[in-house]
Order: sequence, then C-alpha cells, then structure tokens
Amino acid sequence: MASITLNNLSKHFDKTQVLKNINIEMLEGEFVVLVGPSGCGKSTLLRSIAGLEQISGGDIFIGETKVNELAPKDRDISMVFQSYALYPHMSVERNMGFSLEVQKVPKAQIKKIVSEVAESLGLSQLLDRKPKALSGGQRQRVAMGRAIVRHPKAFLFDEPLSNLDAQLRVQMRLEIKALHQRLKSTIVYVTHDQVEAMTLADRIVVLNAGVIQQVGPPLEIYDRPANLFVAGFMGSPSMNFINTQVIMDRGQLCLQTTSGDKLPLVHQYQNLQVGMHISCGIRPEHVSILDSGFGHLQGRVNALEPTGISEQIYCDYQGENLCIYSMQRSGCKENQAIALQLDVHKLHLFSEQTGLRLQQLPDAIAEYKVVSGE
Amino acid sequence: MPDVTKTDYIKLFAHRFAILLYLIFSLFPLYWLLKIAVTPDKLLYSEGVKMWPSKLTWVNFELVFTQSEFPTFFINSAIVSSATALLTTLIAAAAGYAFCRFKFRGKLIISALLLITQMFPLVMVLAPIYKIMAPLGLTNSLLGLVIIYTAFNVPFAVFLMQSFFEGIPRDLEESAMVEGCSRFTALRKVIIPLTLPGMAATLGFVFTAAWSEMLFALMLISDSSVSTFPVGLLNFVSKFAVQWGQMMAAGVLALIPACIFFVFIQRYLVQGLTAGAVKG
Amino acid sequence: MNTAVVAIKSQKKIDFQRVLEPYLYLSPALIIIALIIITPTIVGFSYAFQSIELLNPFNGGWVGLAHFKAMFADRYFFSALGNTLDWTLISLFFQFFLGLGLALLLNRRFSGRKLVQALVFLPWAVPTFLSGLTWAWLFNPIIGILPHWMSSVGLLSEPYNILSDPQLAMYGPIVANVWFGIPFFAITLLAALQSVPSDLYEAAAIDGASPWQVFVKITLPFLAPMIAITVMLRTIWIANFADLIIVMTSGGPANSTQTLPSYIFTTAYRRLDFGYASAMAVMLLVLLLFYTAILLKMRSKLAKA
Repeated sequence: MASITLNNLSKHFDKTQVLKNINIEMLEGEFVVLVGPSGCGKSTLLRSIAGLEQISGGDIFIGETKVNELAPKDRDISMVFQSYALYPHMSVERNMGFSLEVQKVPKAQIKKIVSEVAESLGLSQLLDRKPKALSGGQRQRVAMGRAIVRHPKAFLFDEPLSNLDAQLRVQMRLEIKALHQRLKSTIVYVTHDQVEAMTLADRIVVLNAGVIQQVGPPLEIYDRPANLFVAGFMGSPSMNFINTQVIMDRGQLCLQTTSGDKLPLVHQYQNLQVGMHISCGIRPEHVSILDSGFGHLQGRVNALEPTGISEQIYCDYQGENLCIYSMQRSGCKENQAIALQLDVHKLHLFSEQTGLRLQQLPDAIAEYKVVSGE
Repeated sequence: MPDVTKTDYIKLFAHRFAILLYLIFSLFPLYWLLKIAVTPDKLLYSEGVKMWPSKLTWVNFELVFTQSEFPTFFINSAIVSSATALLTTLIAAAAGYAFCRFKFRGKLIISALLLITQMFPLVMVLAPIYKIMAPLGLTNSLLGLVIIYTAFNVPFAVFLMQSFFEGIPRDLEESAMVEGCSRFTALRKVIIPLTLPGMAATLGFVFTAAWSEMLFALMLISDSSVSTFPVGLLNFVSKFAVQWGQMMAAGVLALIPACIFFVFIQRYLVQGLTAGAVKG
Repeated sequence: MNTAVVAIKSQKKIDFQRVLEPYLYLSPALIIIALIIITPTIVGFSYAFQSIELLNPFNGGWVGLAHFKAMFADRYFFSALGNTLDWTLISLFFQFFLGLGLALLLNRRFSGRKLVQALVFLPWAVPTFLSGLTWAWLFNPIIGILPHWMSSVGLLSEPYNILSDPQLAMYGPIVANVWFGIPFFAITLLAALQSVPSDLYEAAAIDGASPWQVFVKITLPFLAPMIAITVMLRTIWIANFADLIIVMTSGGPANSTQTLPSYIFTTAYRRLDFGYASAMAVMLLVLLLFYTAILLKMRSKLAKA
C-alpha cells in the first residue's frame, strides 16, 4: 500500500482545460471518493493517476516515487473499469491471474493466489467460465478479484457500480466497503452517485469543471458545504436556496427574503454585514409544515412525492420550488397553502457574490428562540 | 395467425414468388456451367440447350485434371491468392490498429489518400507498372503479382480491419496496460486474439479479390508455367474455342475456392462491403 | 538540477515514441501504396506526354499534347466515351433497383432466409472472369439457352449470339454486370434497412400509415444519405470496371462494346501503345474527378437548401 500525492496537477485537451491545479494528498489505506457531475474531470483525474492519460503539468507521486513518466504497467496499481473490461476470450481464472501471468509468476503460484482470492469473493465455482456466462454482479466481483490478486500499491475504481441494478448496487457497495476494511488498501474511487460517495468514503473530493470544490470527510461535506456548488450537489433531495438580504430587525440580525419574510440568525457568521445579499440554504429535512400559525414562510403545494417511508413535498415560495422532506405523512393536497417552519440552527449562508460559505463562528451560548412569524 | 385474410395470402405468395425469381436469376448461370461440364461432348450439339442432358459424364473433369495445365494454373492462383491474403492482412492489421487507436498528424490526409486509391482507374497504372516491373524481373513472376495485389487490396483491408478493431472496447487494452502489459503485449495478448475472426474475414475478402483479378495478370504474365487461373482459362478459351465441356469443367474448378471463402465470410459481408464500398 | 535534466530528457524520449508509434504501424501500408500505386500513377501521367510503344522502341521521347490531339480525332475514343455512359448508367439503374427490391424482400422474417440470402448473394463471390465467360456461353446459341428463349418470346428473329450483333452486343456485358452487382446493393441496402430503429415503424403503424407511406416517409429519408454515397462511389467503380467487357467481347464487334477503360486496356495490352493508353487514362481520371466535383457541389447545395 502507498499514499498518492497530486501536486498542482493540470491537464488540457487541445485548448480546453479539463483539470486545474489539483492538489490532493491521499493517505496510505485511505478510501478517497472523487465525486462530481459528468464531465467534471473526475475520470480524467483517475486515468491520469493510472497513466492512461498524459498530464500537462504538475506531479503525481505514488508512495515516494514520482510516476509522471512511468507507463501504466510500471505504476503498480490496479484499476476496476466501469465496463469491468474482462477479457472475453479468457476464463475467469485467467482473467484474475492475468497480471501475474504477464509478470511471469510461476503457474502453480498464480493458481494458488487466484483460488484464495476467488474463495474470498465467492467465485470459486465460476473459475472455468468465460465472462459472457456471468451475471452483472459476478462480473463485477471478477473485476475486483483481478485487481486484488496482484497486491497493488493502490486500487482505482472508475464508476464500478453504475452498470448494476439498484439492489445489486447496494449489495456491492457493502462488499467494497468490507473489502477495504479487510485489505486496508488505498482506494481512489470515482462516482457521480453521491450516496456511494457518502457511504464509502473516508474522504470525499468534490470536483466541478476540473477544479476541486471541497475535500473532507462525508459528513463534514454534508454539514458544512464550502460553496453553493457543493451544497447543491451533495444531498438528495438537494438543498433549498432562498434569496435574502441581511437586515437588522429590532436589534437582531435577520435574513429578509425578497417577499419580506424574516429568518432570524441565531449564530454568528464570519464577514457577515448588514445589506449583504445572501443565498440562504436549508436542507429539505430541516423544513417542517406547521399545523397552525404562520411559520417563517408561507408556500403553496406544487407536488407531492410519497415514497412510503417518507414524503417529499414541493411548494412554491416566491417563485422558487422549495422541497420539504418529512418522515410523517402530511396529508397535504396540491395547491394547498401551507406554513413552513425552518430549523434556523441549520441555515447555510452563502455570499451571492462569491458563492462561498460564510463560516459559522463558535457560539458563546446557543441562543434559542423561535420566532413564529410577525 | 388466427385470422389470415385473402390479401395476406396473396402478399405472402407474391413475396415468395419474387424471392424465387431472384434465386433463379442468381443460380441459373452457375447451374448451366455445371450442366455443360457434365454433358458428354457428343451430346452437346443435339442436347446443348436442353435443361438436363440424357447422359452424364465426368470425362471433362478428368481431362482437365490430367491432360491440361489447369492444375498448374490452379496452384499458381492458390499461391498468389494465399500469399496476397496473408501479406495484406498483416499490413492492414497494423495500419488499421494505428487508425483506430492513435491520434496522429496527417490521419485525415492518409485516410483520404487510401480512399482515393480505391477510386482510381486501374487501367491508369497498368502500363507504368509493367514498365517498372519488367527490368526488376517481376513480370512473369508470381511474386510480382503478389506485390501488386497486396498494394491494391491494402486500402480496403485497412478500413475493414479498422472497423474490426473499433469493435473491441478500449477499456480492455487499457486494463491490460494497467495490469502490467506494454502496449505491444496488450496488443498481442488481448487485442489480437479478439480480432482473429475479423482477420480471418479480411483474409477471405482479399483471397477472393486476388483469386478473381485478371487485368494485371493478363498484362504481366505470358509464360503459361506462371499463369494464374484467369490467364490460363482465357488463353484456353481463345485457343480451343470449341472444347466447351473442358472449359466449363475448368470454370467449375475456379468457382470452388471462391465459394468456400464466400461461405466463410458470409457473416462479415456487410462490414466488408461498407469498408470497401468502392471495391466490389 | 541534474535529475531535472534527466527527467526532461526521458520525457522527451517518451513523447518521441508516442509520436512515432502510429507511423511505425502505418509504414508498411504506406510504403507499398507509395511504391505500387502512387509512383506508377505519377509515371503514368508522364507517359501521357511521351511516345512509348513497345512494338516501336525507337519511336520514343516527349511528344507534348500529341496524344490528346490524336484523341480528339479518334472516333473510337468518342464512341467509347458514349459506351461508357450507357454501360455505367444502365448497369447502375438495374443493379440499384433490383438490389433494393431484393433488400426489401429479405428484410422480412421467413423460414430459410439465411440460406436464400447466401444463395442470392453468391454471384458476388464468383470471380469476374468466370462470370463473364459463363454469361458469354449462355448467350452462345450452341451451348447457351438464352438465344433460344429470346427468339421464342419474339425478342430475336432467330436464335443467334447477341454478342456478335453490334446493335445488341452491349446488353451482354450489362446483363452479366447486373447479375454480378445486385448482391452489392442488396447487402448494403439491407444493412441500412436493418439500422432503421424499429420504434419508428411502430410509431408509424400506430399513426395508421400505409406500407407505401412508411416506405416513402420513413425508410427512404433514413436511407437517403447512405444511398447517395453508395451510388456515387459505385458509379465510379462501374465506369472503371472493364473485366466483363474484356472477357465477353473484347470491345467488339466493331468496337460497339468498347468502353473507355476497356479501350485503354486494349491499347496497352494488345497494341502495346503505353503513351496513348496513358493519355486516355489521364482523360478518364479527369472526367471522373469532374463528375465527383459536380456531385459534391450538388450535395453541398442540397444540404444548404
């Protein structure tokens, strides 16, 4: 196992810049997930680490070795492809032992290693089959087994679960997590699915347009998104944003929405000034519907999406679509007017000008005060 | 079908009938070739135009095999066609791989060049090639034919091989490279085994094309010991114009390898024809 | 600093390899094409302005445009030009429509389709010299049945060989060419037909379109680009294709079936007059380029409209 360090990595195709000044230090044994919308450069970044793409600037270190000029074969890493890339003309056994075969490891030894790994993945019965005769989940396992067999310095996963159906995806997710815990290996994992990112990662790297947006443990990213992009991208259903301005109302700092509703600020924030335009973010689970009274905001129900275990209610507020996530069944009807209560401790403030988060300052005493409207 | 109406029956009948007409049109000339070949010479003038002779004979085939030079022509053609097919497939596989997997300067120009060579009037190069080949001792030589046939089949075979390579996911090669292969080892261990059927098809196409080539062979070959089948057959026809049975028996002989390869490349006809839309 | 220099050097080496590798794979193909196709072509151009007759080795040297002047005085040249046009257009017309018909017939499921397909495509695999001979024999009244059929349905007054009748001879090679060329169009059109997404047909069926409407409104527009390029390339190919004529009639009788390529071949092969043959070949090339240019121009105009 080894760490992976990216220093000022950049890459451009012709004139388009696909990766800009990427700096990440991935620790030995760490599970790092690269996440971002399609076309953000996450796959290119992974392929650059593998050596399948040439980089235009910066350095890549695997362990202590600078690998910029090394061919993929000399980097000692394994990669699991989205398509699995199993060799159709080889049996499962040869597929799994292929890297050792290329290194001219004695046959008996290959057989031993492969059968051990196959055993651990429940593939022992399938060793003689060709990839064509396997199910999606089995192919996925063979691809992982092939990566494990050679004891690489690091594993690279390129959207490995996106070709599986939903149920199998959950199962394989758990298996990958268990595998990581067992092997204690360095893993770089690319996905566009933020649930995978949240559940698997020790640390998440959020990428957009070739630029790192935020690096951090999953819950930190969820609880304290660094900017509007991360806030909107991580979390499903995604965060609501309301356009507001900072005002002083009866001696207290408040956010006033365009239509005049006020949200009291119960925490202190860095660089907050009266008059600032703030995009105020609130996660759907931090909005609730009041049975009586006015709440902070008044909306009108647009649509209801019951999922059984929960309910998502979309309502219109000053032309924006606000989502409410509720574990209770609200009994709302479409077009019904409803009063919304926001958990004001969970507001995320972003400068409209820069898109950056206003950091919350540590509170002396959390002051709790419900303001139920005017 | 539960309720087949009368018009459905008529449509069905018309469809099968039309297909039958096409079948007859396609196969009748070949049938006729075979029929004359097995008709005894004596019966030709009395029964030449009957659909089936009253007596059959293998004499014509025996004569062709034992008394004529056709076995030599056949072997010459087989040597030239096989060598051309092998050489062309090797060269085209390398070039097709380059086209499929690399970006390089001049790619567009080179592929346009290959396409243009396909549209060239062949007759344009006949005379210059003769003049160039003669002092090199490559006229009246099977080697000369192999070189020329290879050159003229390469462009089409490159397009064909390129389409076969494109059918192989890039991931496989990249995976092999990550797993410790150089590009060349990946090519050898992963890509080539997967392209083998495509290469076989290319072999078949080129063999068929070389087997049927006639203009260069007529131009460059005059010595009957190095004649290919078309040259030999055409000379025979002009010399012994009335030995119908033998000529047709020889014709049947020429048809055999072509038919074998045809069965062999059936599956790839579409790819082959679109790659060499101009090739025929 | 020293290591940095080494790193830059090895980087350069890698770049060099990366740049060179594709050319390495391409080089055998490029070399043989350059030597066997491109060089003779250039030499061929120069022959067009020289006197090169193998039967007359002393009569050499540059003659300027003499061959081209001779060409304009050569009535066989002009009749060959006209014959080339007839040969190309008639063959193409029948090849295309009969090929389209076959493709449509085969684009339906029926038992034994695979076998039928193999059998009707077989003429494509028959060596051209053999196709030519077979059809020449079929037109021969002694051993062939066609003259007898034609006279019994009244096409001919008596069963004779149309290949020796200057009025009709051209139809012999044309029939052989159609026979040989139908599979080509049938295969390419069938592939194109099968690439039409089936949900388009389903949508049309739901909208209540008749089969003819479906063909005109869905199938044809979908096939049009493919048809255009195939027909264009095929026209050039047929125009250049001389094998059948050389085998069946050698351009005779009385030059009535001589097309430009067969005339060039005969001039080079029988008369061994390489200079004049090359001059005519240059002319043929110019005409074909002219044709291609017109077509491409028309296409870009149509695309704009």
